[in-house]
Amino acid sequence: MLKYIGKRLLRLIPILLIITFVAFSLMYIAPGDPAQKKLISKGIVPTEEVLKATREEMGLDKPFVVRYAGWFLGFLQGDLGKSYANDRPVSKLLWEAMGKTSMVAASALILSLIISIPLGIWSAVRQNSVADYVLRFFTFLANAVPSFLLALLLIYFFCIHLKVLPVLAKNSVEGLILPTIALALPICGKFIKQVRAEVLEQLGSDYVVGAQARGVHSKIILIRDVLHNSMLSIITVVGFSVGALFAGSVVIESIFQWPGVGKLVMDAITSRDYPVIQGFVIYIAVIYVVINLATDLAYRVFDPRVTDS
Amino acid sequence: MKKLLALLLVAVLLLGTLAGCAQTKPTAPSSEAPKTETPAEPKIVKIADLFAKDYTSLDPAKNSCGWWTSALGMSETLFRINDEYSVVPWLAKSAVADGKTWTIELRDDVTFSDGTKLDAERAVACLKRAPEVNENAVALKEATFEVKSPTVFTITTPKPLTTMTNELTSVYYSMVKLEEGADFEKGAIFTGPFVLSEFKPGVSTKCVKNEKYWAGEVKLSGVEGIYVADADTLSLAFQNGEVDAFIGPTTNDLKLFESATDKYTVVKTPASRLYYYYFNQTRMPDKDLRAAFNMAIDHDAIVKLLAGLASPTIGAYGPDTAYGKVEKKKYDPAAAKALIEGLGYELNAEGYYAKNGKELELDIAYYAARSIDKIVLLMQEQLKAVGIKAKLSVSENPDATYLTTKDYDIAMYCMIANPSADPYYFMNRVVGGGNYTAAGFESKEAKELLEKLYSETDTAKRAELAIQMQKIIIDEEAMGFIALLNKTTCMHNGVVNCNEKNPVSFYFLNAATDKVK
Amino acid sequence: MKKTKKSVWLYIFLALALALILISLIAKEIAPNDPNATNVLRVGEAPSAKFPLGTDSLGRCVLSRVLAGAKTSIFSALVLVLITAVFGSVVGMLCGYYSGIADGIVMRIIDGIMAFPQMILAIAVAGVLGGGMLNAMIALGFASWTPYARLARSRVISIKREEFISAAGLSGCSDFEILTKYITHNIFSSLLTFATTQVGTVMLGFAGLSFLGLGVKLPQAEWGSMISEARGMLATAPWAVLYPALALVFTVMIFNYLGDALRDRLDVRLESEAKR
Repeated sequence: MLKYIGKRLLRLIPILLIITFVAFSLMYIAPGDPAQKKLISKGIVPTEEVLKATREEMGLDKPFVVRYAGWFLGFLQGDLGKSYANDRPVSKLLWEAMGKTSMVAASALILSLIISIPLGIWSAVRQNSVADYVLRFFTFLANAVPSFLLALLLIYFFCIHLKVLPVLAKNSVEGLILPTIALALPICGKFIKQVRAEVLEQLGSDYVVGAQARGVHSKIILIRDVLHNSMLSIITVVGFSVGALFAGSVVIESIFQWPGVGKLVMDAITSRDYPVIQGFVIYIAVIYVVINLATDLAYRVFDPRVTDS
Repeated sequence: MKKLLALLLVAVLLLGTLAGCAQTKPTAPSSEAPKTETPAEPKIVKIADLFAKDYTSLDPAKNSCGWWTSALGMSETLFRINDEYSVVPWLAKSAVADGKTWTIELRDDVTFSDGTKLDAERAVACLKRAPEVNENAVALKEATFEVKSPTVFTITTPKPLTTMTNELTSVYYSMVKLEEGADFEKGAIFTGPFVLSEFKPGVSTKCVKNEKYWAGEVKLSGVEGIYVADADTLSLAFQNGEVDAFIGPTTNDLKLFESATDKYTVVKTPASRLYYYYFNQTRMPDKDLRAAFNMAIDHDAIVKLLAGLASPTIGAYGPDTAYGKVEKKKYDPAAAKALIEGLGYELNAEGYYAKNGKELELDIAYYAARSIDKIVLLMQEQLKAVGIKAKLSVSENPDATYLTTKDYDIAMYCMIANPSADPYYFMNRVVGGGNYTAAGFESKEAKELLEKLYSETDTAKRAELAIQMQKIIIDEEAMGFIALLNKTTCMHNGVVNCNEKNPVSFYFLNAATDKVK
Repeated sequence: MKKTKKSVWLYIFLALALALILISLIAKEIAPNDPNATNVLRVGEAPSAKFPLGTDSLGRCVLSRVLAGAKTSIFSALVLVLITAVFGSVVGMLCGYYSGIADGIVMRIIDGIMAFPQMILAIAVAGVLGGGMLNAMIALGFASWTPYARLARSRVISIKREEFISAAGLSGCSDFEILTKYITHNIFSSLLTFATTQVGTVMLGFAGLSFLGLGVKLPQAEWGSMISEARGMLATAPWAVLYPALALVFTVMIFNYLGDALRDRLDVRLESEAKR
């Protein structure tokens, strides 16, 4: 086990290099002169002298690899540069915003688990019943409805028609409700599908058939064995869904004006604030990698069948 | 499996009904009780702004921050523009000119919110500081000041500045208490009816009533200004009562709000924000091509598209002003085609003009604010009808991008052409050279007229000079004046006195603003 | 019995998907109006004979734009899936077949790219490149070829040692022949199934980028940007939002169903392999 952890951690090194390299390159794949873009983003009129000074300041005369190395060293010390827009450290901006995003993401994740696990099991146990078909249709619908559309419909219904919830989420608890639902429902679609498939597979496996033959009550089998064994694969799906949660939050936060990382990056994109975009990409990737590593290890700890290979 | 199909159908039907419901909802009478305010509750009016992200500080002289402090009723200026578009004294009592020197007398009853008196010394400090902080405050850049008494001071400029009082209405000349260690990023002390209580840049600004307001009782107990990133969200927040009043709805909102008079009050006031475009003469040296473009754009259709948000204009200033009485070429697609053909272009298979196999394609640079994104789409269609292909290039910040880099064939812009009831401001920008002058446009004659306009004292003659300059612009086909954006204030019923009849949009909340049942 | 039932559904969804593709192909011919023609006098009009699905904020025909949007959305998704599937599969097959150092390096790069949630990277790349159809495709394609590579590689590794491959090698087939004739044939169904399940995802990705203003350039019709453009009209002209929304949801569902049906029919399991 320890050996495996060590191996996984070693594999993180090239991943980290690639993540940072991709993020760093972002600024240079955009058409145009980076120095000019920096000035424009800061609202400074780019005259020839200012441009020259900025190019030197940014080290644009040095080769790309040297610039990357310098930047990477900064990154290792937690320095992601400063925002063009307000000169504040990017890491600080992201850290502040990440707190807000985690609030929505966590509540959406919890909500979707609360909805999905019982429904998924139910759907599997009642395979091919009307309820199963309704739920399966719902999962397909949820997989096909983009969260931005859901958000618009929710706003229209709850804020404009019923007038019970605020449009501008700000920081209140009631402001959290709609973003959470809009973010959770599309994810529910994936979860229910996964839980259902997993439970179905478990139900068909030998030990369940055997237990049933021995006359063990089906509810006991379901709770004691099936659910327990299904949990493992659900953990992995939760790990993967983190990506979808963050991607969804970019859209949702822009619509609800929720001051998280998603809104931060959209504001950064419109104002061409490259350090913030770079920082955002790295931040999310690192979180994603860490969470997936954690779920992977959890999987190994809990499942004796997986061997070190 | 048949069940599945049936369910599919049911779901589609459900979605269909949802659409049906949505359709009928707005016309259905609203059943809910109107929001009532208990008397004990503090009366707070919330306004929202799409540009509040730019208000990074509460320094009225910095960038456009003064707009925000003025709109929220925090800062005030020595002179102001009244509802009839005339300059009237505000914190000042009078102003008298004698050649290059103006003598300004202050009111003797104005105090800052902390009780400090606004005297000549403090006023002069603000006026001196503005040009150091804001490059737009050029008028007083080389001025010298002299304090004559606690309420009287003089301003002397190198050349006679006839529009001194108009200049002093600008928000960057707002009166603020300047002292050692004042932190504008966190707060500032002004003279207005509302006093800052919390400033979160890019999020919201909260104010409470100024108990010691020099001009009398303030009706509200507080105000809040919120930053909202996009117009649709702003409209939704307004409908939901999270915003009490705002300026600048979209055409859609306007339709919706005006049809619900039981809920909202919408006031449209002719204003001076001008929609226009520049031609890049370096890239489009053919005057006939520019003329053809001007004739291909149907300005009336644009006004119609903006349904009530804009009024037609001919010159830069609106047909009602003395200096707006000019003539421009009429919409004439046939004549436009003739001009283009005269330049040797021929229609190709796709219906666009081309010369030597090269399609006539013009790059229109624009930014997506104040419905300009819609206007350019309409223009693109109008140009297509004439045989001109238009490429649309959007930028976030036109001042820092295409106006600076001159990377455009046609550049859309929207500017308050008449901020202080005088033509000099705009003419100086579009003729004087610099980023707000059309690329490649150089007219010696217009520059001479601008010189004259600077020091001309007679109002009628000033108007005449401005008209001559606009004629040069129109004859040279240097720009196209499209329409004037009205100032449209949307308020929930019961919210009153938001300066909604004033043409200037940075006058918004004030001591008389109130929330009544 | 079960298998035939599965086949029936497969054919139904296949037919529906082909119908959608066909509609998008002839969109220009069946559209009642020019999708980009504005009409300032008929803004936000309710459905009528001339405009069967009403008009939008610029008086454009919603039906014609939904049809034109079908072409943009469906084709961009199909083309992108095709390109990424082919590219990813070829990379994966070569890596799996030859293994060695190059394989190691490529796999580490894939690990790195997959460390980003796909959509996050797409938003960042599209945001930096600044919108437009091609840029949006690059942004989405940047990361979406990697699962194919992993899938193809693991499949190739598992069948490489099978007897018929070594037999082909002994009988004098070149590597190229083995790869194209035998291996491709054997892993094709997995790749095809996976590609089909990705069409809906890519479509939603496009719509999401367009909604954020990072997708197609105006005035090009695309469902996501149509929804975004008309979102303020939900109260006054709901048809401008709901019809493109219905089109998007319906199309994505059809392609998702098709992917699932294909997977059931071909009986392939691929989620875990493609993702890990």
